[in-house]
Amino acid sequence: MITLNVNGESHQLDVSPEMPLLWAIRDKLNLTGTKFGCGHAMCGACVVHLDGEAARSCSIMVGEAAGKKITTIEGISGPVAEAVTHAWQSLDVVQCGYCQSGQIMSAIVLLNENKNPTDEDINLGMEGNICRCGTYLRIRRAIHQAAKALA
Amino acid sequence: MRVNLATLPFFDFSRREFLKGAAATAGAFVLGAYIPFSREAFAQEQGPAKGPYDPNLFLKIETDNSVTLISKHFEMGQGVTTGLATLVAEELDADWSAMRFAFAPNEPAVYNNLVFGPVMGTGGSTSMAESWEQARKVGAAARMMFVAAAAAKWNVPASAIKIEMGVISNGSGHRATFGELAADAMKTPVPTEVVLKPSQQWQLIGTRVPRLDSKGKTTGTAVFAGDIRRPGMLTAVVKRPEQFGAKPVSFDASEAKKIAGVVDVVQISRGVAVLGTDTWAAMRGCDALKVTWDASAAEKRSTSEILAEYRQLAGQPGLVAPGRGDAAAGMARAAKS
Amino acid sequence: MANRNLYRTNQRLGARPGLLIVLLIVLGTGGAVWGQTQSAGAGDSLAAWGKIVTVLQHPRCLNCHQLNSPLQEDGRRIHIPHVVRGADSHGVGPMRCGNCHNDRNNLTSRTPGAPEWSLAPVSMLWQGLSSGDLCRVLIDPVRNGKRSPEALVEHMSSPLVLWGWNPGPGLEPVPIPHAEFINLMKVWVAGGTACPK
Repeated sequence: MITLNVNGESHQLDVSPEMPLLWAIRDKLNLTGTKFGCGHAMCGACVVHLDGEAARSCSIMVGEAAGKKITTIEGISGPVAEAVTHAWQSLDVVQCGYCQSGQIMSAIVLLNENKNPTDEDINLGMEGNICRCGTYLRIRRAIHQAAKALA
Repeated sequence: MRVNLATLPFFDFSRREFLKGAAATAGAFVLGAYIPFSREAFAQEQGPAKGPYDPNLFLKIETDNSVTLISKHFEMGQGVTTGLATLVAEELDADWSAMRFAFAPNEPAVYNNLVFGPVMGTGGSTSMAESWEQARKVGAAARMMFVAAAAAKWNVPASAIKIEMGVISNGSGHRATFGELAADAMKTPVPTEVVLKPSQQWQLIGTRVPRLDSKGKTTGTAVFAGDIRRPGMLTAVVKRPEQFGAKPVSFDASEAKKIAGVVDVVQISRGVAVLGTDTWAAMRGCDALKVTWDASAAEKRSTSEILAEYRQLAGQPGLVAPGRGDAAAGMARAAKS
Repeated sequence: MANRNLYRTNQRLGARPGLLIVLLIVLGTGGAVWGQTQSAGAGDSLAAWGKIVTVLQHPRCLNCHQLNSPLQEDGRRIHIPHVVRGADSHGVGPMRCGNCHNDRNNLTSRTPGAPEWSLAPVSMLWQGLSSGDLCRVLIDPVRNGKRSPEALVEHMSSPLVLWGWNPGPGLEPVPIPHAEFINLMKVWVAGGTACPK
C-alpha cells in the first residue's frame, strides 16, 4: 500500500511503487487535469508540484512521491497561482488547452523562484513545456502580466 | 461574382505582388470554401431556416441565469464555441459573462452539420458559416419567447418589453432575469418567423469577447477524450506495427496477461489491443505482447525513397482545380522579390 | 588513448618495428602488475592512465562535464529539452535536473537517474582536453573539488559516477568494468599519478 498526499488529502493506493505518479493521479484518483503527452519527460504536460518543486509525473514513480506533498492543477492555491491563472484567462492564452495544465504548473514554479523574469528567463524556465497550438507568445505575455500583478 | 477580398475573414495575405497581374491572376487563386457575400448581406439574410432553431434544442437556461449553448460543433481550440455563443448572445441580448457551453449529445438529425451533413461534424472551416443563420435564429427565437412569457406574466403588450444584458423589463416597474422566466419562456411556442438584428445594432458580433473555454482549460476541469470516466471502464492501449499498413497475423499474450490489471488482449484490424483496469497496466501489457505481423501490403519505402518520388511528381503538371484566367502567364509577369 | 600514442610514436620512428615491440611489452607488463599496486612505478602509472582516460572521455562522463548544457546519449546530441546549469548546477526554475531525473534509472520513461543528478562543477570541464591536460586537471586540488589522489579513487565509486556503468537500456556500457577501473586508479595513484605530456 502506498500513501500519497495529493492536494492536501491522503490516499491509500494498492499499486506497485514503480507506477508512474501520473497514472496514479489520473487513473486511481481520477484527477484528470494532469495530462499524458509523451511519457518521457520531454513535453511538460504532466508537470505537478512535489514539495513545491516542478516534477514530471510521467517520470516520477509513486514510491518516490510517497511522503511528499503532491499538488496538481486542481489543487493549486495562493497568490502566485491566482495571478498566473488570472493572467492566463484574461489574455485568452489557451487554444486546445491540452498543454496548459503543465504550462501553468511550470509558470508558478518559475515565478516562485524569479519574481521578475526576463524574456530569456521565461525561455529557459518554460523550455520544457511544448505547445502544439503555438500559444507561446501569449504564455510569455501572461507570465509577465502575472509578475506585474504580484509586484 | 467578383470576390471582394477585403470582406473575407478567412485569410490575410499580402496582395501586392500577387495581384500585379491583377485581372488575369485574381481568379487563379483557389480557396477550399468561400462565401461571396458582403457583411451587410448576411445581416439581412432571412431565407427559410436551414436546420432547426428551437431554443430548447440549443440552449439551457438555469435559475442562476447562466445561458448554456448546446454546441453541435466541437471545440478544439479554434474558438467555435465562443463564436457560436456570440451569435446566440447577440440576438438574445444576453450578458456575455453568463454564457457557457456544453457539447451536444449524439443526435445527427438535430445537430447536423448543414454544409456536409447529415452528420455531426466540425471541420473544413464550415462551422461559423453554416451556423451563422441557425445560431442567430436560436437566439432571436429565444428572445421572442422571453418577450412573450414576460408579456403574459405582467399582462403588458409584447412591444413594451425590453431585454438588455439578460434582464427583461417593461420600463415601468416589472423586472426579471432570464433565470426567473426561463421555465415559462421555454414552454412558449417557438416562433415560426424570426427577425434578426441589423448589423448596425451589433454589440458582440465583431468584437473580442473572452473565450468561454478559458476557465476549464486553466483549472484542469476541461474534459478531453482521455479524461472520460465511466463505472467499470477499461482502458485499451493498442500495439501497432512498425510499418504503416502491416496487419497482425497472430499474437502471444501469455506474458501480457500475467501483468496485474491486464484484463484481455484483443486483435483488431490494425493492431492488437491490451485492455487494462488502468492505463499503465495496459501499456506494460503492450510491451509484454509478442505479435507476428504480415507486412506484405505495408509501406516499405524509406523516407528518402518517398521524397525522391515526390520530387519526380513535382516536376509533372498537377491536377486542375477550377481554373480561371491564365495562372502561368500571371506568374511569369509577376515581380519577384 | 594508448592507441593514439602508438600511432604518433610509429610515425616518428618511421615504422621501426623494434621500438614498437618495446612499447607493446611495456604496456603488456603494465597489465600484469595491476594486482601489485604497491610496487607500481611511474611507467605503470602512466600505462594505467592510458586506460583510465578512455573511461573519463567516454560520452557518458563528458555529457555532464559541460560548461552550461548537458548532452544526451552515446550520440551526444543536445539535451532535449534544453536545460542549463543555473546557479547551483542543478538547473533553473521548473527545469531543474531533479524535476525529471530520479535517483535511479526510470525504465518506463527512459530517463536515466542517480542521486544528485546534475552537471559537474565548471572547474571540471573536460571537453576538448588532451589526455595529458585532463590528467593534470584531475590531480589539481583547486579544480578537482579539493581531492587528494586517494579521495579521487573513492570518488570514482560515488553514486553519480557509478551510474556510468549502469546507464539503462539502449546505452553502451563503459568499456572497462568498474572493479578493473578502480584497480587501474589505484595503480595510477600508487605510481605517483603520472601524466603524459
